Amino acid sequence: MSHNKHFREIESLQFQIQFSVVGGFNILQLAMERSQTLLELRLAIAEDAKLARKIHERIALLLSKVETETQLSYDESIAAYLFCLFKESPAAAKAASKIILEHGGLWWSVQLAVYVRQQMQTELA
Amino acid sequence: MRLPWLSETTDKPTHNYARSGWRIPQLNLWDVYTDPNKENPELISIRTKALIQEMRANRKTSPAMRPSSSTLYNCVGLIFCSRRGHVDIRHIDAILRQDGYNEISLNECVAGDLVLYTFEGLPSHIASVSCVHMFRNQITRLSVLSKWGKAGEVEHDHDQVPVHCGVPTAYFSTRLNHVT
Repeated sequence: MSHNKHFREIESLQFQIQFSVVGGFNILQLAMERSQTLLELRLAIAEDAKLARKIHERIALLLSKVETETQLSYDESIAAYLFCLFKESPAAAKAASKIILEHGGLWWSVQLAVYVRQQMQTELA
Repeated sequence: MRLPWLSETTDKPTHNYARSGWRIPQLNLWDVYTDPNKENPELISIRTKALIQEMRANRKTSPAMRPSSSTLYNCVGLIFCSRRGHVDIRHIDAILRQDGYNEISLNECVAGDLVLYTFEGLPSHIASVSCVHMFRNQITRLSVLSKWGKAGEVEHDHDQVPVHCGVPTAYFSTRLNHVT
């Protein structure tokens, strides 16, 4: 099953501006919990483990565009992908967090990546 | 993740305090950005225009965008840190308390008072009243100045905000005649 529709939507300006207005991290998470697009993607990840790998690749691709893209920072798109991974595939989320933190320079994505790592460390402890 | 910026500069991030002397919890922008004072104003402008365009399509009045700043701050930072900080909205109850704000009704609002928004019951946004439109002693419209997250500053009707900013829920003032 192709997930290009979800990818296109999550990476659109429309999607990014919807989430760029949030005033706090808990509101970002709540808004992402309620997003129909993200819910569909999460369900798809739960059904197809290979999709987590594809999403990791999308995150890497968007990170490579952040510095050269003048119109979009893709911060909210990357955060949305990471959120879906965190909910459905924590191991993939941990790997994605690593590349996001290495890249830096993003607002919500970095905060979510730090949160993911903290949550996973807490669970391990 | 801490970037090496702090050790390479003499410019230290500053703190902001409430009127009580309580230090407002503030995210350290330097942990994320190599220079948080250099957000891309063009990007902010593009995002804000797109938001306004979307809102114009659905509503009678349209928000007015103010010139974008290259400094990163949010709605709380606009009001309580003079555009110099990014303060998570979850601290808003404590900030209002520590600054001596009192809740008032919509009809008591004057310019300078604050409008608090909630999203599914959680504080999600705050704006400052910029103009009160009256007709026969009743408020017909309330204009507010807002900073919509990472987008720009906007002046708009208080009940016209993007979905994730929430809905206007409470109004606050520090005017003495409202002290209980």
